Amino acid sequence: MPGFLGNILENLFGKPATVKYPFEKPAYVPGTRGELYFNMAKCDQCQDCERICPSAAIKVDPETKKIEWSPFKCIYCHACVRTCMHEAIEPLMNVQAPDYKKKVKTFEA
Amino acid sequence: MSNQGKLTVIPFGPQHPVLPEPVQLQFYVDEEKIVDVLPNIGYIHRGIERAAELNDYRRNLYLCERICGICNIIHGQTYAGMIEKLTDTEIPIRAKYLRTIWAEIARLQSHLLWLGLFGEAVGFESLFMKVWKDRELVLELTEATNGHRIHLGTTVIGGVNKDMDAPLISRYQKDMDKLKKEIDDWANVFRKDKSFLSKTVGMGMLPKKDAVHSGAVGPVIRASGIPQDMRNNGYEAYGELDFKPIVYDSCDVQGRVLVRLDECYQSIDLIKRAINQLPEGSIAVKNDKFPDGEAIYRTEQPRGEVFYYAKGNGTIHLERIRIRTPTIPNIPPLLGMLIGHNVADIPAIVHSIDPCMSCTERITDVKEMN
Amino acid sequence: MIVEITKTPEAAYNTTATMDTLISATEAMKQKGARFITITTNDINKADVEVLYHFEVEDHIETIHLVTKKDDPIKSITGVYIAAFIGENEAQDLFKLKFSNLAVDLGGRMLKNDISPSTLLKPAVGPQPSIMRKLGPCREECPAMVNIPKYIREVERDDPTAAYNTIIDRAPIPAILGRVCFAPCQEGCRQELEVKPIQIRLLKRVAADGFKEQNGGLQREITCKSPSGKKVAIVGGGPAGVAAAYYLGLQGHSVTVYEKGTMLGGAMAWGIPKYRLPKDLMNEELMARLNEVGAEVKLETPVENLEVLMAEGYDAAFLGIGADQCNSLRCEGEESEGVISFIDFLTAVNVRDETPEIGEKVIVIGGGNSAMDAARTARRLGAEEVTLFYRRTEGEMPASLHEIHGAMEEGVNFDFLSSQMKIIPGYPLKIEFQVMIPGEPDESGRRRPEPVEGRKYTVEADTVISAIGYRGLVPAGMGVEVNRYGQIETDKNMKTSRDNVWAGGDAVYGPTSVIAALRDGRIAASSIDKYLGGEGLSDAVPDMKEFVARSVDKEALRSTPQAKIPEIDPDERVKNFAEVELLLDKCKANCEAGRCWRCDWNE
Repeated sequence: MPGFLGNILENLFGKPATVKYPFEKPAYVPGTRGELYFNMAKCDQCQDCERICPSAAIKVDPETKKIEWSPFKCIYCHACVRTCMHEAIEPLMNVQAPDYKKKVKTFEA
Repeated sequence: MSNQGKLTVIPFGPQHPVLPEPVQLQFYVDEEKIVDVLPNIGYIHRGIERAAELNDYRRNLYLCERICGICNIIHGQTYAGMIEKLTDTEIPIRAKYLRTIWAEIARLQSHLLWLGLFGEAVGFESLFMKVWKDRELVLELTEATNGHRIHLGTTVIGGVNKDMDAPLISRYQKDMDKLKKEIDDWANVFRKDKSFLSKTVGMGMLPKKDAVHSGAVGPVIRASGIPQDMRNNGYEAYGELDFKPIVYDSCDVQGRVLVRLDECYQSIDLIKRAINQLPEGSIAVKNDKFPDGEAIYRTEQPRGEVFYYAKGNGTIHLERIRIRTPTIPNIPPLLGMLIGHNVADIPAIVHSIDPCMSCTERITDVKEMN
Repeated sequence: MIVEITKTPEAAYNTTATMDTLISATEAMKQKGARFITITTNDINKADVEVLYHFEVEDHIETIHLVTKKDDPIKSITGVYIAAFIGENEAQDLFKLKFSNLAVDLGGRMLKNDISPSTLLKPAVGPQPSIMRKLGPCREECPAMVNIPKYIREVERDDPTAAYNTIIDRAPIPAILGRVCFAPCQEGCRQELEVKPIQIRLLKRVAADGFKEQNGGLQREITCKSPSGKKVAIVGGGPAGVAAAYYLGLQGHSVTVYEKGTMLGGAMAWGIPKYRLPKDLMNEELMARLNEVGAEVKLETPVENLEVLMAEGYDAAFLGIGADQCNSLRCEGEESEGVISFIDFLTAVNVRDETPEIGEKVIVIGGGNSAMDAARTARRLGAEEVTLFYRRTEGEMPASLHEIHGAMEEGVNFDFLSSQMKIIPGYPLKIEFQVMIPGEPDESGRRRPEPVEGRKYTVEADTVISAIGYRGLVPAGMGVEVNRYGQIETDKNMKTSRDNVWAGGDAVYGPTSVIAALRDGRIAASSIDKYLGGEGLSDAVPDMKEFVARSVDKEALRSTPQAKIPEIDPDERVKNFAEVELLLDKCKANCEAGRCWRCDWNE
């Protein structure tokens, strides 16, 4: 008990250890695996990202040049960002917000 | 089991506050003493070995990293190390050091989690909160490295994909010093507090012979006096850092607590030494062959020895992959340890082997139990 | 994920199936985009069991009910839906059901499908891309399907002999192609999007020159198949004819090449100037290929009548007679003295090594590669002012950009949107031009030029070279059917309407390219070989296992600049006919080959 007294007083008068997310967002560093943005000006529909995605969240249609990405199937491993040779997939530094329905995002050229 | 009719059966689990993941132990109890234990596992079977065969070998890295949340970094590194063995790739020395540093961070984080939960298992809730507050230091460090607290995601086949620059290195050194001071604050509670010792000393005895025969791994066997640690084999950069396993002779729950507590100090020390010795060089290398042949790879997770086996046949798919995680061989010693104790001692003893059940489930056939 | 499971299953979500309709019911589920979950069973009585297949469709669960006897084997739905066999294994053990026609064995070796092997982690909605790309886009663009990724890697590994042999498998003249091919592969390269495609044509030349240095010449020691006793006549010594002769000779047939000119090469000989393709190199490579297979060459032997030729004992014939009739300028006064066709001009300079007198001011009319060749040749012969007139705009010129830049650097002037109206003879000639503006697009998509009223001007010149196109003329004695453009009609195997006569190259498709003629020669050779009792040539793609993937260091790959082909300074160039492109030194060429992204080995 005497050893713990110092800790008790410190916790009584110190600030809480939790971050009040979502009202206070943490500072994201480069390397945060956040949402994806597909830059269609640089994409040439080679389907490499579709092949490497472990959860099949990306669908590329080479004829209509559209990409469908499901933010709810994505596991945010960013294997696609590392694989794309044209660097057409840009990671944003944020975290996907929850939603009522599983939406799919479409990117067009 | 002949007087089974007079015994009471207490089902412990699958949900219990002391268990991080679900497992069921059926206790046959005679008044207050435990007579027999029957385990029942299979609650988190996800078919990972089967899924790994359908994927190509590059996607399996992300699958293996997500087998368990607490020990995810080392799972990924073991898988990558195994594929590198299958394809005869030699990763650069700087990548080995970086992987070692992050493996030790994972070990720190896991042991702090365990110490907190163990404190709660014996009834010390404010110790639980204090230890987890210090664990936040490690998680914030991880977040500063790659933006995520638990899943670091820096392993690739052929090395690592993130380098540590000078500001990050100095932040690691400062935070490790700070963490050491914080651990010093409460370490003595685990070592000397009388109410704590009365619940752990002499409980859950695992004699040396039984430990070897039943195949315990990790801190469980190191608390029984046998210096078995995979890091002795010198994989990654452990061969160049002077490493000695921590061994205690008491064979009881208190021994396991002390092993893990001292391993926290050892991890901090290893991280500081590795950072000082960090060599220059590239951080990843080209991997240009399909995996062919058979390979095994064993590393030391916070809970013991993890064993990966893979068989490739020269195409992009692996033919068979087998993952044996450390909690499975720790369950038979657990069953032996529990016999003869009181019911009130169950949470502490079960928790002392550090059960991480989501790593465990690999069994693929379901047999009828009588 | 929120899945609503209603307590009493709604009738709309259940389908009853019998053994015969089970597979089609599962197929219907798959069409809807359903994902297989599990199999459960219900014992109806002692002998009967109801098997339920549960599928997840969007946000509800649908079930297929199947009532059967316990001992009757149930059809496997694995052939239809790969993930379902997990359910079959469980059902086998837990519910004591037997499944027939299992696509997997229960010993643990699992089924892998070429089309979509990882359906377990992916919901099988829609088609999945194949796990490996078989051909790189460069190879798909090449008309002759040369195995470009393979020889790029062989050049990088510093093995020009292997690279040379890889190219010859599909296109027998790598040293020539490395200088003259219009390289559609480079336009297909994925790095073209960032304006730095791999210099594939340059690497071909590096492979050929490297092989020549290692081997001491371009002729190799090869073994052909044993002689078959059949004789084939090849009419025309251009690329189509030489390719057909080489591949037929490889299969063991006895080949004779008839060429009406003084040297082999066809359009490569008269059409491509010496500063792009030195003629001694061209002869060396063509003769090397023909000598390797023991073919006989008859120069200055025109063939007008095929009957007479076949009567000499040939079993089949190949017509690679090309195209050499210049299109007319369609304006008054084009027969005046001083107006020459580019074919006559270039043939005189390239084949006969003459230096015709063209005066000081030369006008070239046309916008294709032949017009560029004519203009640059005129500059080298000493003309001070060479102007090229084209009736459309600069962006619509069909010549390759490389040639246009070369011409501009060497001091050729360009005048666009001008069309020739009338040529007035005299010394000097006077040519009237009409200013045009682009109008409506025609069927090829290019805008048809329309004249602007009242805007005409006259230009003087010593020589006018007409280079607006050319076509072929098939002598009637060949006895094959031609279409209205004068091109020989063939089927997809290059066989003509006459029984044992094949054709290829410019004679069939009009003026195209060297690589297209090589492709035609190979297709025809394969077809002729089958007709003569052989097996034809194989089109197999080599196994991917031997090939090396690209480096994981994406940053280094992306930041390496493209190697530029060194060329002689433009002021020095116009003085002579020396080869303009110089050889790149070997380690720079290997670096360029290392820049390849290896799109065929998808990593």
